[in-house]
Amino acid sequence: MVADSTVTAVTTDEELLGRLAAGVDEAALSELYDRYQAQMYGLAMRITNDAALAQDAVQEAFVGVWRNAARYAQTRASVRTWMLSITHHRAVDILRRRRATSPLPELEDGTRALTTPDVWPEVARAADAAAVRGALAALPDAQRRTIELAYFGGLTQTEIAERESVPLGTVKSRVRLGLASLRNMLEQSR
Amino acid sequence: MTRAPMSHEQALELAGLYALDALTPDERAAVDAHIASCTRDHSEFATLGGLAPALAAVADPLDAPESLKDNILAAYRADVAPKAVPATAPAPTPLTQPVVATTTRPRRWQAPTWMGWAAAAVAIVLLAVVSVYGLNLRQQADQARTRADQLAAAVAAMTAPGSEVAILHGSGAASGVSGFVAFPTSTTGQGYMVVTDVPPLPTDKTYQAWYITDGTPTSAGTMTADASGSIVVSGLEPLDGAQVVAVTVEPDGGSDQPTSDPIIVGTVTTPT
Repeated sequence: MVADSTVTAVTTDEELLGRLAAGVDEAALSELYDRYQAQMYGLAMRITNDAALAQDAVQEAFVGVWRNAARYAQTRASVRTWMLSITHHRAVDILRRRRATSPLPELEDGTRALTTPDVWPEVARAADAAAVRGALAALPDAQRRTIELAYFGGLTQTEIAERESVPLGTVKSRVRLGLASLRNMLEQSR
Repeated sequence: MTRAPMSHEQALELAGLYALDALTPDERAAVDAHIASCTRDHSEFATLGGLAPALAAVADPLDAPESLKDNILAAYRADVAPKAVPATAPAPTPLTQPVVATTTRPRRWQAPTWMGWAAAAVAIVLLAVVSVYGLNLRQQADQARTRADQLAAAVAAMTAPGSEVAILHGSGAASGVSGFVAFPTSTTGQGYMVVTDVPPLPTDKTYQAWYITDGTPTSAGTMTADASGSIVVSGLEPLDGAQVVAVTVEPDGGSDQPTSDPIIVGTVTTPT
């Protein structure tokens, strides 16, 4: 399929992904990179705290983007959300692979390496960093900490329970309640 | 551990952790399996799942080094380019050829299970190549291409009529392992071993393969798994009548005789 190789500022994210799905289109990939690299790299750095690992995460995320571009249409999320979800998934995976030198390593699952996570439509104002920070700050400390350990720390529920010295059930309920409150706050602040 | 079917309540309890990617692959798979098989309300997954991108906004944007874009575009070109077998391959064999050849010339021994396994083997090796390629693109692209050639030759050997083949199965710590050993009759001393999902070993241990003839093991060499848990070996010594191929975990450098029980075993057959 021959794609129009021009990209302008008004070309939408969805159009760019559609072109990647339709055929080889380096210009479309280049533009998507320019639009999202800073958010993706910032997220990957926050999770891995290591420039080399963060670059690996972003690169692997882009492999996921171009190989799964056709699957994007099945989600109802924005392109930004989809790409950041893949980045998160890859960064956490890299972090866990790295930790797998502990005495009881979890088997690496190579087949999962290029899968993309399920993505749902984001809540209102999801991209408004100030609003999200405000909502997070309003959560009880334990809930906020648990959510941050899970999302930015790349820890599993078992690891969080050990670190926080609480039962697994507490970890589950803190995350569930904390996210529900977060959602309410973000929807009400619209 | 979490293999038992998950109840609806158990799945819902994990909705938040699922949304934040804080489950192990096993736990995530159990939740997915539950959602796929349960008709009750799972809207909480969507409700909470929509929050993960909100959290992503909290991370401050940061420009990646300029070299990253070049690397990614180069990886893209390599990934979408038509896949050709490099001219340096010792005996280039297109991956699909042996399978096509056997299906167009059916023989009696090709019971459905055998052909099913051959197809699965092709899928496994493709996954192995793809996952290696994805794991660390920058450094491993060349390695992946070399491995692809080895794998193509190994699959050709396994599916060729008259080959001696052992289908390998893991047990214990290696229970997820699958693979095969294949010796085509057309060559001498050119055996292949392909094993996937091998558990990682401490640095002072190694995998060692053995040919077992009438209960007596002979070493077939030590081998290491790559980062994706795959072992691909070519140039294995001839079987010389061995009935069983086994793999044990040995001290680094290998042993003269096995010092532990085999964790991967296969019986040699000649499906003719």
